[in-house]
Amino acid sequence: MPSCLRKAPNSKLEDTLALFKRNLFGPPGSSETSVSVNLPNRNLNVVTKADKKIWAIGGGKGGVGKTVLTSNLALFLSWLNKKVVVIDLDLGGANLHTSLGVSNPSRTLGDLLYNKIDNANSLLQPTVYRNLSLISGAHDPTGIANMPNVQKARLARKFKEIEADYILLDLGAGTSLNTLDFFLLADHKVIIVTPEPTSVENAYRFIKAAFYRTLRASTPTPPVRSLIEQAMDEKNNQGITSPKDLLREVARLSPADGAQLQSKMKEFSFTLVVNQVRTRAEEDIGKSIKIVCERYFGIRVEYVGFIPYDNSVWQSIRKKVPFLIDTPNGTAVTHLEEVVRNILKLDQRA
Amino acid sequence: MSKNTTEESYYELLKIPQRASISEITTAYLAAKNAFSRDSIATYSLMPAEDNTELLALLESAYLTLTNPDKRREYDKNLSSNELSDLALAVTKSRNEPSQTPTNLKTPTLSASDSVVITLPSSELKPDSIAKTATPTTFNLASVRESKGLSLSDVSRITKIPLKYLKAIEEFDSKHLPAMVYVQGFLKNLSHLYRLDSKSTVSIYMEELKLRAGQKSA
Repeated sequence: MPSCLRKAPNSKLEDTLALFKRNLFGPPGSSETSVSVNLPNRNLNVVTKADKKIWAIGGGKGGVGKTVLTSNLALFLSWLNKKVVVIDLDLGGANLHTSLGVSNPSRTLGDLLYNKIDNANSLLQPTVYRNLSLISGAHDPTGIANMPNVQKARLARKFKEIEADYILLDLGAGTSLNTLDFFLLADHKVIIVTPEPTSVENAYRFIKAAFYRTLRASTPTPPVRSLIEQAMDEKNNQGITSPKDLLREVARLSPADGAQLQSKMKEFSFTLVVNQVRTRAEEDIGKSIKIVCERYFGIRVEYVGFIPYDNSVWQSIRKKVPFLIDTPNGTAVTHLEEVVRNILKLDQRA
Repeated sequence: MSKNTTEESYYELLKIPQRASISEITTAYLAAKNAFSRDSIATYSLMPAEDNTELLALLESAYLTLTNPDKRREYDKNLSSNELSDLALAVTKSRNEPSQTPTNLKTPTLSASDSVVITLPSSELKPDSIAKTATPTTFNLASVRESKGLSLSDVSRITKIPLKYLKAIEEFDSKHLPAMVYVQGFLKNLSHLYRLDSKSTVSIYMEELKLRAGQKSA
């Protein structure tokens, strides 16, 4: 591509690409800047949660691009000279390692879970990409998908001990309690949707399940708790059809609980990415979903952008290389950059 | 903020601040209409169809009220408690230039950003025109144009769109419209001038055109 055709917003990307190439192909540790940036983090044994950002990537339906986007988002963050760890939480169906080109991870999440290893940091598998390491869930016993709450809490504690600037959680499809709980653990709860009724339906189902799970975890009084449990059953006879109805009912039952829930919902927000956009009309779907969600759920939705359908993406998957590297000039890359920048902007606002 | 009987104000419905400009109102209205339209993918599996019709009707009346300076003033008065409306009035007073006529002084429609682009005098402010031409939908390019204080010939001069086509576009006069590709192009130019979102303007206009053509032939 001739340089005159490149758009201006790409210039930052080219900087990071140059940085990346220097880091990948230069001798290890030759880049003075990145070493000095990473040094303070390495010396600290425990990094507090305040300066660690956990992003969870979920969204209900399978095949919408959760794993591909996770690996590319992580790679992009690592190019920004951040130490990034991706964790494959698609338990029982782990494949993140393959999309990052790690063929056979030697240590996995199961080792931590079954007490073979105590320190999560020793689980980190280096990848060929600088600053990016992986905790895989590959080859773990199938029973791992049905983890009891105690183990889940332990894992969550261990994740917080990981030395990294960003931790990205790749979640599986469906609304199992494991998936929901790890999703709700994150600072950025990213939902991936494709412009298809099936995907939108599953995304709403996922949001609804996450919503009720949050509500249930926050309310101590038994009558309110039973009300929420009734609402979770879609065929309830209380006339509660939307989360907004539920909040109203709770407020009527107990004003104190209602107020507490309201304030909790105010802090709560989802981040929305629309993937595999093929037509101009589909570009607006993110905006529409935001409007509908905010009206129906009363939760803030941060729409951070869309990724166009790009043939180079599935080609990169076959090559087991992130599309950021396979086709750095593709349209998907430009939009991915925008998505990352918009998510990082949310941090600055908070 | 105090709420009236419908629980939610038009501003809350459209998620816009109370001193939003006509362009902001129209953009928010178009986006919401797009989101809740019958064939929208975004409401799939979440809301029953009856809910949507009700909501769409509410959106229409919100748009109708807020884009009409007189009705909006009346609405704002009913909506807010005394100190709130005083505040809004003070804000609009300070935003408007002192040279403007007294009627303009009270209308909170022209924001600072609008007056930068369109410097023509606002002589043809006709609030009644919206109600007259509103049949199936209230979305109306004429009212947006008038809120900017532009006449048809002004727009024709700025955009270089022939006057007869402008007229045909505003009146949904399919007999006198040029080929659809031109209409789409003209609509894009117009939405640029009016500071509307061009994609949703074009799509909603085309939908409306089809609807009206169907009604005529029936």
